Amino acid sequence: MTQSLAQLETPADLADYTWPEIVPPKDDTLLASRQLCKVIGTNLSNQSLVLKGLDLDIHRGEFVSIVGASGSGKSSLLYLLGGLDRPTHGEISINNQPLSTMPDATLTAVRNQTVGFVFQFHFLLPEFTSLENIMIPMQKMGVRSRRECSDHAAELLTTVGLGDKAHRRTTDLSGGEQQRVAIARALANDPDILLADEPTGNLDKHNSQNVARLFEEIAAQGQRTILMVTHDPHMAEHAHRIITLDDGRIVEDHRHTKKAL
Amino acid sequence: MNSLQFNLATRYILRRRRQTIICMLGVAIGVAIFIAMNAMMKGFEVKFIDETVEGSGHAIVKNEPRETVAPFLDKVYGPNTTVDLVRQKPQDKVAKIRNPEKVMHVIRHLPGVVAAAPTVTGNLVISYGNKETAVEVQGIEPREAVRVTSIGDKIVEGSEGGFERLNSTANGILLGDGVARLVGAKLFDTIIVTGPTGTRTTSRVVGIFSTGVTPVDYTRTYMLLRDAQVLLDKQNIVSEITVKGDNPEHARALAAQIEEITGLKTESWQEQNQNFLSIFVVQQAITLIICGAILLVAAFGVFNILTMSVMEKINDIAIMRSYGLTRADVRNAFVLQGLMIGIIGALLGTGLAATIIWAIRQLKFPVEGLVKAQGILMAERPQDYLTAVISALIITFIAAFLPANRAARFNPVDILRGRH
Repeated sequence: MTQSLAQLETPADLADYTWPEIVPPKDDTLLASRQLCKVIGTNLSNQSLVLKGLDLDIHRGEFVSIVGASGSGKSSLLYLLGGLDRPTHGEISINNQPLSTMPDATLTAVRNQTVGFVFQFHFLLPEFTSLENIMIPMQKMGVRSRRECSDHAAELLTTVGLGDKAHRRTTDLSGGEQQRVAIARALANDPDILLADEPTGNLDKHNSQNVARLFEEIAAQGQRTILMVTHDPHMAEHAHRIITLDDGRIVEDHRHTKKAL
Repeated sequence: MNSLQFNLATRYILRRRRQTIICMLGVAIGVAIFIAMNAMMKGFEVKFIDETVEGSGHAIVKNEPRETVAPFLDKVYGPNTTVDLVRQKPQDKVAKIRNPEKVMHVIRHLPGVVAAAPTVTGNLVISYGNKETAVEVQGIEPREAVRVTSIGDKIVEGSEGGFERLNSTANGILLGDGVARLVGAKLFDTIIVTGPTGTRTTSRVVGIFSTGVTPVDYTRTYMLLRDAQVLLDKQNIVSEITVKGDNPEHARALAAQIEEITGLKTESWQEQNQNFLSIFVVQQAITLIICGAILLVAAFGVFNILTMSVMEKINDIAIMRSYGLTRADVRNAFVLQGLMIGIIGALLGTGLAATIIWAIRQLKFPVEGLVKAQGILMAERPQDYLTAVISALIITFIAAFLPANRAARFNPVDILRGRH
């Protein structure tokens, strides 16, 4: 019996579905997903299949936007790709390392060293200064000395244009400034991948522009891959590649030449 | 535990300064009451035991066998036989220790025995003017008696010469201060003493003692062994031998040993005061329950503040987990907060306890209950401090661990999606 992915609609379908063999990603793929499925919800009555067998390959240096209506599975995809959640079915690999076989501790280390998250709400720790907030992921990695952490954090703050606000409590910063500190924090351990979940969702137009420009600068360096979930088409336009999700499936994936700012 | 977790814990605690301080005070008060109450209870207990042990000797050899001898009727007719006896009459037999000199000689040579002294005991009525009262008399050898009990140090009036004066005064008598007050007799007054068989004599009060144990001071008198024997009509009879060992804690074993060797019933001070000792056990249990309850309330404070903190920090927990902090990092950061409250609270508590104990000791007022004292007796013991601190730490650790573990088990994605 031939089955098509189009038949996959509810969590119950997942049990009957016969999956073909997984095609491994090419060696130069930084971040890949195969047959990615995710069920969310705690019990049968409210469970739903939010990702329906996604195959995705992302290469080093790409700046990718993921767009789609709310409920299309954008955020779930982002959490899975960053190792913050585990898929119900399918495989994710970062640098050709499959995440599914990693124990929790390794996955946590991957999040610490390879991935940087930026969320819609900045979620800075209010008890700490901007500088300290950026230093915590570095201290967790434990490679740099305290002094080096502090120097690097100060450098990152300068990069995001807040070099003068290093020792401010984060509660004294504006929303836009806080989001820039959060971006600096995501970059703390020089991650390969920067994952942003609606990073401008809570910002005004001016601050959104600032954040977009910052992402473009980071992308221009060519070292980091940026994956940005957004529902704002203007924001998405800043990326080199736009993936459109609808109801848990990729419906469009196109590259475009970046428009001039 | 690492510096990162420690750093998080300190910042969180400093953030909620007021609640933290209240929480610490809760622990401190729990610890302080634990220590102070134990000190008070133990103070009374130690004083009572001290006075009893030192005042009455570690063990007393009695003039009777422990087991009643198998009745001869049992021997003749066998057990389970009903025998109807008419006109039964107890034997006229004076209770005494046979060959007391030899018994004492044996006891004195046992290892662990410091001294042994003969005593004859009995009841007298003393009268002075129109007052009279029944008392217990102990006929003693003063030189021996002061070696087995502390009575030599308890003479409050007529202490110059003290016990020795019994030897130099014919029919000299030492009265407990309660007895003296009852009949109104003073030092060197002459009182009338009547023995159980009607022997009557005048006797001179050569000293008044106060042991601090109220029942003793209100009933006991001392006379010379020889004088008491005459008065009690128990010539040459020794009814008890008082023994002092080298360690009051070993009195039970010593008493058992003496009993085995001499065949005479020997009671340790523990056995003699069993009823009081069991009161102390109950008292100790009540103290522990009260103190435990207070500490438990303090622990609820810790539980409460940490549960609130976890709920308030739930987004921060999710973000920290997203950038690589482990479940253990989160758990330890919260457990550490509880432990900091516990440790600082417990230390404050020991300081508070020391202050309370010091303050209570400054209160001087005469207390006359089972024992006589100036103010409330406090026994400040290092082990009470240690027990209080360790219990506080264990209980706050548990109170902190529960919310901390909950924080560690959150799934960050659930929090980010707004479902937890």
